[in-house]
Amino acid sequence: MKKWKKWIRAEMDMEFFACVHWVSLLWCYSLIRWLCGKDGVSFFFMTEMGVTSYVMAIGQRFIFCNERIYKRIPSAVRYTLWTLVPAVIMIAAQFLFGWFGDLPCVAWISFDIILVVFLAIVEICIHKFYEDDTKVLNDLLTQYQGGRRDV
Amino acid sequence: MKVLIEKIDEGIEEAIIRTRKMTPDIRKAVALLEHNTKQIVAKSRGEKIFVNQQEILYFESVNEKVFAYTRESEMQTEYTLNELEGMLGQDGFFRCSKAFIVNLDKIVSLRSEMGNRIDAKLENGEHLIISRRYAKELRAILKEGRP
Repeated sequence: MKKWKKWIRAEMDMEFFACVHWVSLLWCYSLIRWLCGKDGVSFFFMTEMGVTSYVMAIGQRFIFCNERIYKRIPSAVRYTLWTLVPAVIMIAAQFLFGWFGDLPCVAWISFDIILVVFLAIVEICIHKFYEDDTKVLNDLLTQYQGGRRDV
Repeated sequence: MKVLIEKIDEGIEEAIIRTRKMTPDIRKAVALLEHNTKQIVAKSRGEKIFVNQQEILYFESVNEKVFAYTRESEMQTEYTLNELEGMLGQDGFFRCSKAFIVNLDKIVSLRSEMGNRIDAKLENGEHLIISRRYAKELRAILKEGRP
């Protein structure tokens, strides 16, 4: 039962990120299609984007999958991969599934640039969040240890 | 209150408090002295030894054996992690994962990590990962100041 619960928690985490990726892929793609004068997005493309988003989330999960302590440089490498790996998956998928077959080159280039920048911004925001959380934790720790010394 | 301190070179160290009434200040002093002198039974090189619990940085369970780690050494204890958790839970020791109990007073700094985990750096430079499941509890303890 414990392993089952652990799996569900991990799965929910991945699906959350997959949904974020899916919405951003779909919205950006729809916007670019609309700007190129095309209406509508194929249901197959939407499904493929959903699957691609899930794979992107799995890729990100496995970068920090083990409960290991990473030193500064390996940690920085992993954080960089956290943006690069989903970007590579997304770019590979767009060519594999032909999302931009009927659109000019500038369309897929713009799509890729926007989404890579988006992924980088998400990572910067998450990093900032954890930095702030670290400060809060250390303040609490100092308070806690100070309180115990006053016993 | 008069305070007398007598330095000794040998013999058992002890604190004797003579009072007509137990006041909150005296209770605090007693708690402090007891806290700093509680000991754990452990084994080192086949010999039984007593370790001051405040010297212990953390306990680790490996292959169904539990080891206590201080700054200078490691030693095996006869207790299980669950038993230690019960004994030391009120003394600043926290079960931070399935295989570790850490002395919160020996943590130098904490770092929030991806996946809601927390990296705890100890006085001897070692790092322990507090898993997500236990991170929530740790935050509650730090906020409420409960031991």
